[in-house]
Amino acid sequence: MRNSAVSGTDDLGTTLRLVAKRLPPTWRLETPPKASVVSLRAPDGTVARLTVLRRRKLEPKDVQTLQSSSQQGLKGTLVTAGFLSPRTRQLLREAGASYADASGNMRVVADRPGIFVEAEGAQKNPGREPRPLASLKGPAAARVVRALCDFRPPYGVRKLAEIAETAPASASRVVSLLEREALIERGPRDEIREVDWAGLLQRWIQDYQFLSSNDVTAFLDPRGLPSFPAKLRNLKARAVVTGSLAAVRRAPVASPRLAAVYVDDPEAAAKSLVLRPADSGGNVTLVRPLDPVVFARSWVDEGIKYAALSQVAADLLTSPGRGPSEGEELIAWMKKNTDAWRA
Amino acid sequence: MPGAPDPLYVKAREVLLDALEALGPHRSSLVLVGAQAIYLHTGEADIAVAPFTSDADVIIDPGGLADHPIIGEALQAAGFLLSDQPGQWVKDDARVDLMVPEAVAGAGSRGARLGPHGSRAARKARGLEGALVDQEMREIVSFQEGGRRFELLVAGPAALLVSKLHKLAERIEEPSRVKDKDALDILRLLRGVSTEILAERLRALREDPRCATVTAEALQHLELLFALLVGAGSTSAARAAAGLESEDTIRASCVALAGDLLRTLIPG
Repeated sequence: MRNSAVSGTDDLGTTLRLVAKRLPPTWRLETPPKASVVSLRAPDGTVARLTVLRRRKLEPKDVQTLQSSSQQGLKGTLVTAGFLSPRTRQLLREAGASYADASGNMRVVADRPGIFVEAEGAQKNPGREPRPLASLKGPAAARVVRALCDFRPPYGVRKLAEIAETAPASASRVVSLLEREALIERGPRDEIREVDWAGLLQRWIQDYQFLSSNDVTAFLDPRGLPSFPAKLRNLKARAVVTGSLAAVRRAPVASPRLAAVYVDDPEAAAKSLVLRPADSGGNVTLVRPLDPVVFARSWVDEGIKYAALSQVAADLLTSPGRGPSEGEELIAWMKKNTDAWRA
Repeated sequence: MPGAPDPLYVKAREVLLDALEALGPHRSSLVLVGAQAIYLHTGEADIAVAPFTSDADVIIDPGGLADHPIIGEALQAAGFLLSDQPGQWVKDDARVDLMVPEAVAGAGSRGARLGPHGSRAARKARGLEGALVDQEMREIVSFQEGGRRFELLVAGPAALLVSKLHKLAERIEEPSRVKDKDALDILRLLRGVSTEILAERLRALREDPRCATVTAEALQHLELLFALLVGAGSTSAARAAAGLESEDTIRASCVALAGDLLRTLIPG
């Protein structure tokens, strides 16, 4: 048997085997594979059915939500999770629910045929860690990642938060994650001493995707890309270019086929730029960003504003077609020319 | 940024300048048409395909053409050889094609009847009539440093659009891909010149008896070949730009710009 039974996983099979063991010897627990209902068969052949509500984690505050989501309340349900804390179990009991966790905590109640089984497992979550940040999704992570790329350490977390314009707590959580993943090094006074910015970009794009993290709309400029920069130069609204059109200003990438531009209001910008909606064949994408950090530390070339290279690289690496290989080209250039882009 | 022009294009321009120099006083009766004229209007940045061409297309307006010097003699003296086709003058592997718009070319089947110049110096061609109306004076400059420059009438974008549409429509059924370059040149014009200017000049062409018919025909070709994503012209242009711009983008651009132009010309 795997030892996951005590490690706080949400392995349903393990949890149900623990329940089966605790039933009176004449009772049987029947669990059709993948079914959301388990049956408790009494010696006389009668059956009580419990609907399984499976949760990876269940906090006390979630019990209320669970209860209100089910019209019949929680009677007749078997709530399972990797670990249920004493407080969570108390609330489930009060709601009339059956429950079981992978550490052996359980309560199985049915009226007809009548059965009542209660057992205690772990009181503390065996798998629990101080709730670590698990992902770099979201605007706060974007700000911190971008700041770590764009500014050379050393600096403390507080200073980092200031540069990134985030709450110190958010910066701290991101930094902890990156430290666990060995992408940054801290010094003796806990200051950030070293940032592996290329590794950090690769880690970021596990959670950040240009097309899905931002709000991307395709448009057609029927007069073609070469005439597009002139129009962009005259755009009154804030706009920065990312993707190939930005990379080509620095790295040896082929002439771009697609312009990607961050703007606050894509519809209004499309109108000013005389673009039309494109079902297919779009050559300009206007992008409402996940976070305004995309506008931060932009650079100007021939009257056009470009996103910071760290942003451009992450966008290319997560773009379709030639994007990823252009992203690699750009990163190679950035490695050779750190002074040109990193403050 | 496109780099230096293609060496073939540089040579084609030199050979054109040779012909203009040789034809001396006739220059005021000549109008530059074809690809070299198109690039003068659109620049070279509109489509990623490097524009290059090894020939120069020039029409003669027979109306004011002087009797001397004899065109054939002048060109031969400058090193040009007449190929087996009337009007096709070759030098250093580059070509200058002298043509007379059909509507003003007189009788005969292929060669244009040009009085003392004979019927072999230039050939008749259909679809170029608009260049007699839509034209502007430009300076034709060598790509070589300190090279020659001549003032010459150059067909306007509407006349060029009409002539390219005729040329493409004639060839569209042929399997050859030579026509793809013509389709791309049409898109260059649609992209490089504003819809308003094209429409205004096409209206003028429709009103001139010399070119009203070919202009009306050309607009029908435009609708048939370019106003649909699957139009043969859009397809041909997409093929010519393959690898440099997405085929879908080229097709969608053809449809959008041809549609804009047709709607401007045919209100309602």
